[in-house]
Amino acid sequence: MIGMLQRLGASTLETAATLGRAVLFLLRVLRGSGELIRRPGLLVHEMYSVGVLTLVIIVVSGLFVGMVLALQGYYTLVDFGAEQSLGVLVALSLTRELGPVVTALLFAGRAGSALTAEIGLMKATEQLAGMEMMAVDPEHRVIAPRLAAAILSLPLLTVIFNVLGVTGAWLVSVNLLGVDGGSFWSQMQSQVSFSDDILNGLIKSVMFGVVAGWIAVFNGYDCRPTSHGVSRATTRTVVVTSLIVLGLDFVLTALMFD
Amino acid sequence: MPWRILQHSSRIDISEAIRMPTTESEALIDLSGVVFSRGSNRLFNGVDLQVRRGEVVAIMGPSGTGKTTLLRLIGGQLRAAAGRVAVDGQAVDQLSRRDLYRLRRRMGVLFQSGALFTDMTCFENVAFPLREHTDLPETLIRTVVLMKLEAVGLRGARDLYPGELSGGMSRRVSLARALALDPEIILYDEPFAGQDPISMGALMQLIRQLNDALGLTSVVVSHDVDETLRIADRAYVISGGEVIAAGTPEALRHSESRWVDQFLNALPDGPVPFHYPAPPIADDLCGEGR
Repeated sequence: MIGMLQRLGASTLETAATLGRAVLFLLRVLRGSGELIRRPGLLVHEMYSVGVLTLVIIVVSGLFVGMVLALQGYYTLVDFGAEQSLGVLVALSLTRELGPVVTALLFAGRAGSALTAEIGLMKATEQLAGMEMMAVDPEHRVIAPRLAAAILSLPLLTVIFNVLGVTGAWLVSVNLLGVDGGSFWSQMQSQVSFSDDILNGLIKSVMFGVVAGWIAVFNGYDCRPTSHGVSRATTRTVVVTSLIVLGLDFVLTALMFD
Repeated sequence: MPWRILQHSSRIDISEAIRMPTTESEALIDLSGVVFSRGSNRLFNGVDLQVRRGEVVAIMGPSGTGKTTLLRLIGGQLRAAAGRVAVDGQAVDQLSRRDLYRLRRRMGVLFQSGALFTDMTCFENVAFPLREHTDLPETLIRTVVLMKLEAVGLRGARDLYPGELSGGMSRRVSLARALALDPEIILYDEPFAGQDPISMGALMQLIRQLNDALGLTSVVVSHDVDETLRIADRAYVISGGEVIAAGTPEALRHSESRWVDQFLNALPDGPVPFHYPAPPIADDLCGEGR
């Protein structure tokens, strides 16, 4: 019993300490990210590996999520003769929820894990320590551009995901199931509000970008510099990001849409 | 900015000419009463150590005595719990981050693993500190990088990635990178560990020649006794958290200390026991744990 309490206390303290380290780390990195304005090349390079290389999975998933949504929505709506509203259904689902959340989850799996593994390996092979001794601060040179790239990439990827999702839905509903194209688009246009739906969705994705990027770079930077440590950190990045994104999404939805 | 380059390169030549004779006895690196613990393990218990300008100083001791930690203390990556670590008169652990980074530009470190950036070619690795700290145009960076690589004999390997190099070669590239900014001090962490005799000879020669030709000050941490003593001006032997012997290689070889004798002559048992502390073997084999 005492042993269990001790373990519980120890793990609570450990978690609190990790959180504290993560916050301080974020502050230090943000303070150092002013340098990115002077050297935009660093950011562009990271945007390529974090953002552009994630495009394929985002494009394919977006297309298929939209197609499946259209199929399922059609079977339900057609019973009520409301299949013209399919466009609205898909667009609202995507912009409000599925776009930001699914993109963030895919991002964690594709880019977040890569970031953690890369930084963790740099730490394990003393590349970060070497940089420090060359009077180059790795938090500014390595971490800041990667975090900024994650925060900027995720909203852009979300927009692409949404566009592809709507396109997929259009392909299935108008070309395959025979829904009227005019009402598909016009209903979508009148029912989806830019400020309520699209903008709120984008705000979500920015928040998810901060969370996903922060967790990924921190786990890499804070991992034990061994092969096991790096592998655990990579797994932790994906699991923790996914859970926090889902939880945060619930909170944000409750606050944004009433 | 040509004037910067001029200023940069002339610094070495002029200081070389003026500095050496006048300040020969001044300690460039000065550790006094340094105490450092890792967890409950006290690594250093009052270490005193001085490195004068222009010297090659060896720090030797068995594995696990914290030799690498000592280099990290000098580089300001770790802070001593007590005592003073000073480089060129500046207490390293009291410097602001900015001043510490400024000081580090005057030091080069050769890590045991080489610590090369694995996703850059040798050329890019050596160019890295130049790109980070100077505004030199690309043509000059190329010239400087090729000269540094030439100094370590690897100009021809400039387009290879670290993964394609042998251990000895990657250490030499790492040395070229450490030299890129023309440092005053070079810290070598186990430069000879795991090297074949030819690479070892090449590294030994490089350390000594670069030190003398460029007017550097070198600290070599190693447990390869013969090699290290052959190139060092002075050596410190560390064990149990203290400096147990110091002096010229010749003096150490004639040391009265049984410990130094064991270390220098590679005797398996002596003041440093062969066995890790354990309860008597009879208890272990026939006692409770069975």
